[in-house]
Amino acid sequence: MAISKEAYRALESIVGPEFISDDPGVRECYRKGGYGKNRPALEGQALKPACVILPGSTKEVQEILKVCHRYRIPFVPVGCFMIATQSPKVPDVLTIDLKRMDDLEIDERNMYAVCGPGVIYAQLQAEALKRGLATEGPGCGVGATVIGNHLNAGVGPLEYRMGWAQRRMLAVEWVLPDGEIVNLGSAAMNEGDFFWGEGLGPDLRGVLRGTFGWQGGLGIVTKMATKLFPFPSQRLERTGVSPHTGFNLPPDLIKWINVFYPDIESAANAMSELSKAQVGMALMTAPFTWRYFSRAESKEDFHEKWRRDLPELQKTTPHMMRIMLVGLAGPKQLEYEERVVRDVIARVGGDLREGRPFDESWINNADAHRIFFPGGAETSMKFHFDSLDASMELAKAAAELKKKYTPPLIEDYGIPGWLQMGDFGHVAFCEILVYFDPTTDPNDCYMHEVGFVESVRQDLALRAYCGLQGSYGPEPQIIGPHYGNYHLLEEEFKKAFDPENISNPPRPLDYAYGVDLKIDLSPMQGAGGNR
Amino acid sequence: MNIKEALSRIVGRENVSDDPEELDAYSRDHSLSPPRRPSYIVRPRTAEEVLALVKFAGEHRLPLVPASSGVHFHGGTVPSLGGIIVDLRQMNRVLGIDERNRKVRIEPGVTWAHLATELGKRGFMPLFPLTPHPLKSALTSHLEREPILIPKFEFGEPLLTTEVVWGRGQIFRTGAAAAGIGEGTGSIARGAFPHGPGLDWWRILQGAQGTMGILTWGNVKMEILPEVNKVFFMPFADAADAVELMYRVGRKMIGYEFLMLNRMNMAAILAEDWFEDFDRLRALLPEWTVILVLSGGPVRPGERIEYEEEALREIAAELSLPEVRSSLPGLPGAADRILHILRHAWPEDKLYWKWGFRGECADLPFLTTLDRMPRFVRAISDIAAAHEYPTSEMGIYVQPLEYGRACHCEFSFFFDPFDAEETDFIRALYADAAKGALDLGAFYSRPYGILADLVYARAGGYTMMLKKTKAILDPNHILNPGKLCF
Amino acid sequence: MTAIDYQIYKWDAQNCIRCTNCRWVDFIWMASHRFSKLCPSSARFLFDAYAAHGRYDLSLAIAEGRLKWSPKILEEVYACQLCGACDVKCLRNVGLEPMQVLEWLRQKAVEDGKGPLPAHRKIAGKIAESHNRYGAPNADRLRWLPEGIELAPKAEVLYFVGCNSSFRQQRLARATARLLAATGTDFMVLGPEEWCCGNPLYSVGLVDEARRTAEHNLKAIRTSGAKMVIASCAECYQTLKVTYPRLFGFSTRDLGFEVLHLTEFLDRRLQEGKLRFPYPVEMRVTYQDPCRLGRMSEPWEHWEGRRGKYGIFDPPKKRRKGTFGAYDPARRLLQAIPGLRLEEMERRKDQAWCCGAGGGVREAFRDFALWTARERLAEALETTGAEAIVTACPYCGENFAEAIKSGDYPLQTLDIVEIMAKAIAPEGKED
Repeated sequence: MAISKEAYRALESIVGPEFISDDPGVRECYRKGGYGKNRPALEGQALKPACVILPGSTKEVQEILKVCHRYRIPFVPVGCFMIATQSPKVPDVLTIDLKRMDDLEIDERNMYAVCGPGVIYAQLQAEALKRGLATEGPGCGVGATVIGNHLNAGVGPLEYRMGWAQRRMLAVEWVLPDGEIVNLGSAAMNEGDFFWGEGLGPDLRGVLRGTFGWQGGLGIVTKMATKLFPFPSQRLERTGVSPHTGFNLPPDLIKWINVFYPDIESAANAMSELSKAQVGMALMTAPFTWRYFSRAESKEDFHEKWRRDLPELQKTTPHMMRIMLVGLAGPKQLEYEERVVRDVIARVGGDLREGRPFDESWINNADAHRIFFPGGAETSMKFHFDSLDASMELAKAAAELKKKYTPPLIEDYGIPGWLQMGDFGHVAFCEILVYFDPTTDPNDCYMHEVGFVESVRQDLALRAYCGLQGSYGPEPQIIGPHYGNYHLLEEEFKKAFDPENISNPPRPLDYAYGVDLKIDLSPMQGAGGNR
Repeated sequence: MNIKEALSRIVGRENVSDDPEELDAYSRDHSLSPPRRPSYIVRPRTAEEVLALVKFAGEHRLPLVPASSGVHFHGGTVPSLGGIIVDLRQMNRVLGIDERNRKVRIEPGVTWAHLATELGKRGFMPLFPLTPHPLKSALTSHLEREPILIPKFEFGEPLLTTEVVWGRGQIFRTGAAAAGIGEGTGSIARGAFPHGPGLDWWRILQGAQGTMGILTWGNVKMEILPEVNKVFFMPFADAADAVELMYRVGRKMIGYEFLMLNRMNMAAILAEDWFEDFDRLRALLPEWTVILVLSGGPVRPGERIEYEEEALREIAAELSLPEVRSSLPGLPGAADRILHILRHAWPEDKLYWKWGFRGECADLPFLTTLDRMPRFVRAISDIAAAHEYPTSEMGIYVQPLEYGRACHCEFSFFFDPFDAEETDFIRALYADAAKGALDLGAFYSRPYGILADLVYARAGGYTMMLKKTKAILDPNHILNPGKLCF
Repeated sequence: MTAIDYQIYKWDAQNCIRCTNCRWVDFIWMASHRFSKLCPSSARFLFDAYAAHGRYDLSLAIAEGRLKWSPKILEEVYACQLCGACDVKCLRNVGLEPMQVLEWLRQKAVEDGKGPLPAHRKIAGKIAESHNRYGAPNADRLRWLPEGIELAPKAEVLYFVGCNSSFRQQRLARATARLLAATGTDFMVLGPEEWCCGNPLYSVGLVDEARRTAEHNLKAIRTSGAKMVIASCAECYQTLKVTYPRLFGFSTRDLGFEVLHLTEFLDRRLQEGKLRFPYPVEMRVTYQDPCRLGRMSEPWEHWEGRRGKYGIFDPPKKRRKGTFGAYDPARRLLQAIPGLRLEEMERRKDQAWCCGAGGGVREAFRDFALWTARERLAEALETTGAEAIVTACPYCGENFAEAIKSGDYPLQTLDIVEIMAKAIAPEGKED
């Protein structure tokens, strides 16, 4: 046994024999994760854990981590394990699967929910919607765990008003790698009081995550409060049978409007003007590829129709901007906001059409994973936050770069991704999504990796803010030196709080560290940025 | 080693002072903090000078205390262990106004008055806390997480990207500024996004009272100044009666500025003079006044106010509120005056409202939820009464945050700083009020002065983590030592 | 050799992105935290090996020889009702077909001489010997027949009774017969020529054995000249309609006869005005969609070809997504009964939580089957306040009945034929 008998016995006595396993079959299923699992760096590195454990409470998590600390057992916490960063990279790992810890409490009046690490967004949304409240389902889908996603990513169009996930974190209960429990926010002072997240002085949520998080590299969060927002949810009507499920929207309270443009600049300009006009609850551009994904009967159907229509799309390059209007203060607000939208579009231009009174993608995104449908793999070759113009300029540069790697990337047109407005227009996000088949021809996956690294270098060369700081690949060692060596600062935090380096090692170093990918990973010289 | 000489070589002789009067001025502020004297004052002008100061201080383990404002309220700039005041007021430029993305880049010495004036020229406004002192640094207010008057989410966290000199001796840019700030520098990056690189450094800097790093500039959000506004006043006899109103207004996400003031604070803010007018207002005003400003957007402004007003009146009807009015009885022009006050720094030619009554004021700020707010009002009033302090002389300010998901409460105790007995009396009352509120569950997210002792003693894990964080960012422990838990 | 060619579906296993949608109720229809799960296996056993995404990993490891069969791994494979929820969920978005891999794993276990489990082999033995799963004399298949019901020696409609209604819950067969008679439908039966449909064999990976009994039944049905075969058991129904064509390499439409569940047939009769419910049944009920009548009941389309880049099927393959399952006929019938109040559970139609019995689970993992049923009973009680949970499959009914008894739940389980029979005959005369 890779974990010593003594340690195993100690672990088993904490959770009981039903909730710990070193069965080879069980272990096999915790090896690779999902998103990014076929990337070449992971291929050589993803290991089976030695053991998988399912704690049922914070106390059990604490005790488990103390055992790990004592016996120097590396551990990896997983929520839904959708991303491959939770794949064990060193031998003899204890994978800590948190799905049992799925307590959920909602304070309806004060609009927040306290979640255990096993709660997924869909569960939270189901309960929130009952109460005239809502959370934001991230682009990776509402099957993601609330805590895992809040700690790591969490980007979706309703964040135009609700804020990115790191802004929605309130108080937190955090078990450090040595088993010490630290509460952040109001819970630090008053036990069980999770209403607020700011610090006692300096806000240590800043250590918990930044653009991305530690991906389990600095202990385990066992409770997190997240903000909820008012929403006219009691009028949503569930409808349909798979795969055509969705919400019928109350036409007097919620409305989608789509506006079509021939280029990204005019679409972005419209978004800028609309956000200044302070209307809407979601505001973004969406690529036409997604329409084809969502309407396709099958992969074959998608590829046939896409091949058929792409030449025309490449000629006319339609870009679609979408805005969701919500009458929180009643139908009159919806009417007002629609008048404003029409005024603005009349001024800036655009072909305005009302959307269907139906939503399957954004309120409780049932179809997020359609992006994996065409090729098998999707990655975000560009993941960028800054102002709208920065996002737009970078998106255009990314579209050009993408052509160089098409094929093996599936061909696209215009801006192959989306722009979103955040914080009511103060910030924006752009994501360039690429689709490919990672398994039929392994060289396709390798070429994608080369393109991915080149995309990171492109950010540096153009002095754009590279958002891929979370070590999905070799990014930190390339960009760190240009951004104040933040990665070395992170290393110091790692040493301070995980001196034994047992929490998802080798985080925060990238998982490709030391792997010979034959891709140039050296830091760039002469790129701008931090001094 | 001649420290003064060394400092002069960094910032220039004219920017170093050990004048006793100046040092005295920095040894105390408007809080109850006991006086502590610095040894020097330096006035850097650039980030490089700040960096050199930090490195020098690090080598010699000399405390550095950053100060950006011309006025200080919470003891944050009183040097607990002596040392060098880093007076940043010469770094007072508005570096860039980005209208398209509604942000403005400012140095720490930019005051509220200056910022409001500059933005006002272009039809914008900063995100105000309640009546900031004109000499107060706007950037510092955002660093201190002073609550904003407008509880819309996206206005609640105005700080974006920054340039900071860490105590470890490194100039670092937070957020997208790490890649660039635009403004004609050739970068695609515009410095709008606050998060990263890596961790959320801006969060660690907020609330730190200069113990982690010294900001040399910051990007902060600004908003379009609404041209059309309508102010509403809702009077209440009891704070508890206002709670449901505040929740419902939040749920409908209507309005701009939204706050509640008790009679004392309202009178102090509105009084034209501290004699007749102040007394008249104290007799005239209701016990509590909720103020809600409805503002039109840039497009069809009047129409937004229309539906929001209708929504407000619906709420009022549901709650059977006695009054929703656009004026205050006996106070002609109150709506315009309040709007002006809320959207400007306190006038430079007028005595600051907190000092008018007795000369000085000790504030007890904390966070809680709206439904719990009334019990704090009762409890602190009881504590005041137990000290035989007239509760009618206590100032209370309630600020809903983020659509009413929480609220900031601020209790103000006015006192004569030249009366030692009175000062001691207030000090004792303040301590009891602070403990009493703590026992009821107050959340001191801005632990000034004695609040720090209360807070860090209770939060062992948090304190440990803060200390380790400090050890990384300020390993020589030179930045404002003695503050918080350091 | 396994009936399913793993090389075709290996792409699915490799490209599962672990979105975990396979475990959860459709995100639109998820109405509460309490009843948010859809995969009983994953919900009960928790470790990822018990979810479809985990079984994808197991299949790759077994196919590549990195994992050897063991009792534990057999449990990980067989502790699954094959309820089809994961298939519907996965096809909704990512477009993969986990059911193919789940079934392949069992066929592979059998091929490797490791499966099925002893409890399954016991039943297989009985079927081999007696042509029914109970080991009863198959000649007694018609003992359920009540007086007063005439069997047509030849008719367009053939009633395929199934083992459970023939030998155990005979009242269901009787009620079915009365209902058919009430609609003026002449029908025939196979009698002793009716063998077990073969689902207890196919579902555990005993493909050859399933083929044998299926071949017999197909021949008997075709010889009878029936144009339509009606089953009152959802398992028999889906086996005849979907598994039989699949076993022999053709499509459902090429069977030579139409296969209907009794509810589908009676719903037609209701719409034609040939079925009426004159007697009220005053009861508040909820309806359990049997997996095999619901999401797994779409017809089978034979496909042969190869899998290419992007996982494209060449030639294109029709996917069975559960959209056209028989959800509504039973509901229309219940709603037509006077006095009956139908309240829906949160998880319904294609998102129904399995009763717990299928896939060989009731035989090999009785506790797990009952746990699954109890979860459903809790949902019925907490979200509908129903006095009865109505289903359209005797195996669902059996499993619910045992769970109700073991936990003293304040509701009963009824088959839809029982309720309809009450509604067509005066009290006391229904059977």
